[in-house]
Amino acid sequence: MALPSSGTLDYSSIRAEFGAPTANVSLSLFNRSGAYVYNVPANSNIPTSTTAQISVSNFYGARSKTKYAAGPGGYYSTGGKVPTYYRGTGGPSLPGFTDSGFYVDGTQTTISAIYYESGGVPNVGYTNIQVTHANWSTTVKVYRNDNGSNTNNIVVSGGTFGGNPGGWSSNWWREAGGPDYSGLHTSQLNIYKGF
Amino acid sequence: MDLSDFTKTLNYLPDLVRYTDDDTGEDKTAREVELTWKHNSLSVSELKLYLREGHKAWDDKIRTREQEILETWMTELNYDPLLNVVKDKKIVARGQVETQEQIDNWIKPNSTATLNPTEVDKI
Repeated sequence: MALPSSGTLDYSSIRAEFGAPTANVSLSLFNRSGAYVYNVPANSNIPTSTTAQISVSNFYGARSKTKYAAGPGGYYSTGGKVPTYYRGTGGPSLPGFTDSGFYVDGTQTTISAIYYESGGVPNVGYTNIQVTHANWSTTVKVYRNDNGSNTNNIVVSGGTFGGNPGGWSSNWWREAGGPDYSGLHTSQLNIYKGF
Repeated sequence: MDLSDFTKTLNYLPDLVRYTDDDTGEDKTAREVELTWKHNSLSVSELKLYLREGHKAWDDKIRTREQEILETWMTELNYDPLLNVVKDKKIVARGQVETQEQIDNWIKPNSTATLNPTEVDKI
């Protein structure tokens, strides 16, 4: 759900979309990349600064956090002579999701992992995604919450896992030898969009 | 300290709010709801949440706001949030030792043999 992209828009509609803690709406409460609004293209008209000029018209088409998942984009190396590297959210020794609600395939689902791994012998490189709803296909877009940049677009395909292109093994989507999603370790809050 | 003795009330506001339904792309209206948390015995603030009826994240937003409110009350009651945390609607000290097993494990780590011993020649 989102706010309408045209027509009349009042403070109450903004308040009710994002879930405000007070009746007195201060628009600066809803700055982009703040507590209530992710830094994604749908919200690009909303200023990031709490002191910037802001108006109701900035909120046309804006979205609350409901359909996006979020978690810090981390990095981990096993070390040793032939280390394996992991980058993303929810993978081995990587930070977990802070917001695991993930909307995909017309369904509200829960995501617990999205990461890229490489290294080891043979050095194939795997992309892994784990959700509670399987066998869908879409492009999962990854944004940095601090600056809104689109760091990666992960093309998820349907069907059974067989290498490249990827596929599903139970609730895991895997791809072997696919693109190197090196931008997943942002050290910032990553926003994951599956719809 | 137990904070669970509070009343949560739900009040429908008179004006309708607008939103776009993602599934159909239609602009729709809904009632706006004012939720109020009021503690029944402690002298703490009455706090609120405003949300659209039928919001897809209805439960999640209420759960998140309730935890935020309990943490606000904890601060109002002069508990230091660096030393305390709200867990299951109760204020508890961070890292507090609660069970005999924790004490035993501190005195003699692995006393309950959580980890099996490893033979020296296997290392």
